[in-house]
Amino acid sequence: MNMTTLEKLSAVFCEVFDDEEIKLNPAMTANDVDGWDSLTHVNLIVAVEGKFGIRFAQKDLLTFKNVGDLLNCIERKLSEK
Amino acid sequence: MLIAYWLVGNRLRNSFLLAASIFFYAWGDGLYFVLLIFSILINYAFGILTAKHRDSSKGRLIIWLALVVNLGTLAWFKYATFIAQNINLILTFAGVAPVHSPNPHLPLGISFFTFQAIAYIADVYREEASPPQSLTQFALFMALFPKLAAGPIIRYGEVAKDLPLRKIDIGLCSSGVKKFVVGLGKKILIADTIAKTTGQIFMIPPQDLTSGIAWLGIVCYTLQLYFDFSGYSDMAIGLGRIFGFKIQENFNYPYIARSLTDFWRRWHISLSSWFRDYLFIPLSYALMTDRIRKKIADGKYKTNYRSVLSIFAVFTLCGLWHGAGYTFIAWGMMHGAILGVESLWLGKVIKKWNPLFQHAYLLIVVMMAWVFFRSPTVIGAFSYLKALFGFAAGPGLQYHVSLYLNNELLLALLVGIIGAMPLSKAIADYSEREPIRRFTPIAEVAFILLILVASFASLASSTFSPFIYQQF
Repeated sequence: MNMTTLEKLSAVFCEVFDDEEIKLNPAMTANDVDGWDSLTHVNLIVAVEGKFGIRFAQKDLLTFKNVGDLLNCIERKLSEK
Repeated sequence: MLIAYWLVGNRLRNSFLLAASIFFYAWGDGLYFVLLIFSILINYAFGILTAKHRDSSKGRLIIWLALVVNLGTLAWFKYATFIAQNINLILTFAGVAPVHSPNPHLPLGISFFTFQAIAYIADVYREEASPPQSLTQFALFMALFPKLAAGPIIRYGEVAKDLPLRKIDIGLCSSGVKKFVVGLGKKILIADTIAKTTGQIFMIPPQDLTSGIAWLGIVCYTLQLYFDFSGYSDMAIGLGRIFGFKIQENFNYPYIARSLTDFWRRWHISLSSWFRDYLFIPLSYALMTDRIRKKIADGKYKTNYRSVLSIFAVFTLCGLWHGAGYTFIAWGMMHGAILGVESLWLGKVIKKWNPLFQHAYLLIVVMMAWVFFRSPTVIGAFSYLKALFGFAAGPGLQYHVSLYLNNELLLALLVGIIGAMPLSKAIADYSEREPIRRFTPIAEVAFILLILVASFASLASSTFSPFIYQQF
């Protein structure tokens, strides 16, 4: 299936937060997703890494201010593979 | 001092404020200001080194070194005695002679500025921050006197733009003055008044308590601690504004929270977010080893138990940060355990409750934990809890509740309970209404002046009691 990165990421969010309705846009932050807080952030990141087959560095974890930042980092990691 | 600050040209402003801050520290803690200066110099160096080596493996080495130096210093001054005492317990149990217990003086604000430095270096490493243009600016960031003794723990990003240059902004200044005075009132008029009763009740041997006294005591302490600490934070933030810095709020009406998880988003925000960003998230992530990831991929790890373990560990350490003692560790563990359970299933359950039950749950949990925070010993805390739940052994006549209820206390408690609720928005809306509007500025000034005068009157007639959090 040829999904865009955004669509693939949306699927991960739906899975992690148990909500089929989640539709991401780059400007969204944790405030916009029910259940996305510091306690679940790591679960989300691990799920993203698993789905995309990438690994972030510790220092990247907190630099994601919004979905857009996360997307950029994913794309960067994918291109480095 | 303020006038001098304003008169001094922009270029000298930072040096002046820095000098005043160092003087403030020396006034409070004598020669230990040398430690603060040492911390400033070494962390400035670490910051520059980290920025230079961010992308190489040297960078990680530097960060670990910075952590060891900062935490090691903190550990020595704060925990050496506690560690020695515990080692001695084990040694005497094993029949070996005890070691000499060092008793270092606890330098003012060390818990706060150590954490602030660690956050700064981590932020530089994560490219969230760049080292400031001059040592003076960095020194000011570390030593700014309003937040030096008891926080808030400021992140570099909060003040980075304002460090080099600050224009005098009358609006910010006046909001700062108001905030400062409100904080002063919270501390002097409410917290200190209630503290007298709390002190008396917690001095009673716990096994002599009656249920009524125990409840009065813990309700008093609950309000006292909030008004003392949030009052102090308000003063720090207010002063910061007067000097042109915009420091973030440290409290957001914590007692109206509807779960313990929510409580920690509202109580001592600068500390809880520090633990979240610099310990909890890195730790939880590090615990996600390859083995666990494989389990997750295979669908065999539905619940993240390691995350829960991480919460428990972080809050136990949070307890330890508050004090080198088992009561504080116990307090931290209680919070960690309940937060863990909330994240597992309790949180979802509580969400469906009637708000009244949510509030009752939160207040009871928080108050029970405060018993450990305030009690001098763990055993005493358990006895206190026994008294709260009706298993009091106390002779009702000697310590009767009515002995402790005087008008001053009741008024302070009433104001406290009302003040713990977010009424300012309601008042602000009300004051926008037409006939009232004309009187709002005057009312505001009158209110502020009233608090100021009442606070000074109260101060003048009693001995000055240090802020509770200053001992951390």
